[in-house]
Amino acid sequence: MSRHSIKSQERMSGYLLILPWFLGFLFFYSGPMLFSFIISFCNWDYFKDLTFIGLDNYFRIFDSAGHALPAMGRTLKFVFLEVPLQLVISLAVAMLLTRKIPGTRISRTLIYLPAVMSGAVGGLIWRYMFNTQTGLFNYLLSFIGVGPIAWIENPDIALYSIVLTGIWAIGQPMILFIAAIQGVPKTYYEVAEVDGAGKFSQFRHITLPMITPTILINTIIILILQFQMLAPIIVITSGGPAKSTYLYSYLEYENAFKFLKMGYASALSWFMFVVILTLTLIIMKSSRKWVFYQSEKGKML
Amino acid sequence: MILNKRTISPAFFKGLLFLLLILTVVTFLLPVYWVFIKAVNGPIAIFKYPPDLFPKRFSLDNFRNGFQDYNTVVGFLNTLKIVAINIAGTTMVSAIVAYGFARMDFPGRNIFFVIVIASILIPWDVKVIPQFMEFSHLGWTNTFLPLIVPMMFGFPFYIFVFRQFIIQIPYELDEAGIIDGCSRIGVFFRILLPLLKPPIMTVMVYEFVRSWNDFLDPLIYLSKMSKYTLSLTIFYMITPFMMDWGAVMAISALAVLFPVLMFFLMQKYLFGGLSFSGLKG
Repeated sequence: MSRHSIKSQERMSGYLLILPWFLGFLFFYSGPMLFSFIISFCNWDYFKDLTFIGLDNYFRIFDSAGHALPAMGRTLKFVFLEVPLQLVISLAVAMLLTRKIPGTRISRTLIYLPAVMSGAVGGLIWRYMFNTQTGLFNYLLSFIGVGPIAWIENPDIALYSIVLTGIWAIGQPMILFIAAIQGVPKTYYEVAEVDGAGKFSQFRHITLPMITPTILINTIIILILQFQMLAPIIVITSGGPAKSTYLYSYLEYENAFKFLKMGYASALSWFMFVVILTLTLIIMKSSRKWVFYQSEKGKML
Repeated sequence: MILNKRTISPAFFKGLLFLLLILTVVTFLLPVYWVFIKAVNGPIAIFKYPPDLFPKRFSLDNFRNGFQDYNTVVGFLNTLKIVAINIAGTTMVSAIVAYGFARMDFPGRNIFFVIVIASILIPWDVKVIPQFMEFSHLGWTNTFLPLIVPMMFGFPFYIFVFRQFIIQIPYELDEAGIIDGCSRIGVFFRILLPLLKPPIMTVMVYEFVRSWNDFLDPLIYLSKMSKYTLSLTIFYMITPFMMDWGAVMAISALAVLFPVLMFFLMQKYLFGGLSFSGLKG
């Protein structure tokens, strides 16, 4: 067989092997998304004919009297609370779990566990524990003389209670942080030790810079996940009380699957996509200033 | 962490850290612990105040109510069916696609792989509305097809995990196989597949947890009770007219038990799996 035919044979097998993914991408990602982009310029109640209405759906999102902007405002508030909280706590727990103390391996698994509860199960358990009269949280708080707090009944508190539930689901970022911390060469610490650097200074000047690539990845993953956080809202509060937890994702969900306003819902989802994409790109761009790569090879892939 | 070494001995410091570790574990386990405790504590303990932090009685009544009053068995069987098909299908297809990305040289390979990565990051909200329009147009509502068919084309994150693992395997192994007369696909099945056990295990556990817990997709596509998955069964147990929280806790405990067991059995692959996926940068 000539060199040329081996090359073209390899090319063919390459395309054949990735064909399933490509078809899936066509049928379940790009195709429907293109369709929803077109639909976003139409009025479509799903059962009736669709009519082209230009940018009206998008104008409706930016209508100052509408629901969409306040919902996006709540979502941004939620995301900007949840992302730093999850980052700091997952990193702190990862630091603890990489110390030379007994029981870290089993603790790693145990701390991960809340993250394996489904949205339905997790949500219901939180709702049960948040119960103002008989819930576990208010019982525990009564020991230190606090409360009772109306966790999900008080409109001023409900959103923060939802933020709180997210802290328990840090398993994934924690695991990535653990892998990153363990990947820092031991010799760096040994040299620092010789130079008389304290533990805090070692963390500040060795660990932290070395794990910046993981901080970047975790920030982006958590950001994207928190923007679309929906199951706890459906299960715990249904957007209430007094719309205090009526997040953008819930607005989308209601319009698409309860009111079947497919045109408007498509426009809503595209606006969400643009917001997430913009924030992600800003973070990526800023990362050139604060992310430290050991080699060129380490970048993203 | 700013501790003066002269005043605090290393042993004492270690003890402090250990205490902190226990406190952290207890805090994080609280919701999981509470489900299991409330599940076996009987119906009367559900709204008892003050609650017993450690159960004083043992009763399986909640489980009996959970199975008798609701469609729980159907939910279990439906979920098992979906999970089994998804694990088998998506693991195999994702591995084969990843093999193409890792080992074949073809124009556009890098661009396609960037698209794979990018599609991991597409928010669920953004793709679910278009997918819903597509699947309901195909008449797939109240069937399991929307939960299964997309997985049969490979799942971007799993493709990524497999690809990162395969590129670490020496290419000489492939070459040896080709010289011995293996076809490209033969190389994959005879030579690489036996070496792929760690990422296969990782992906299978991930897919188990993902499919088992999937709540929003069933919520959107399934409205017939005979089609409910376990998550849906549990979700619909609480209505304004019927609120058997004891039964909820019992069935929730069972629903959580399987992923939890899986985690304990597979932790080696699960936690190892992420460090080879190249995410550590």
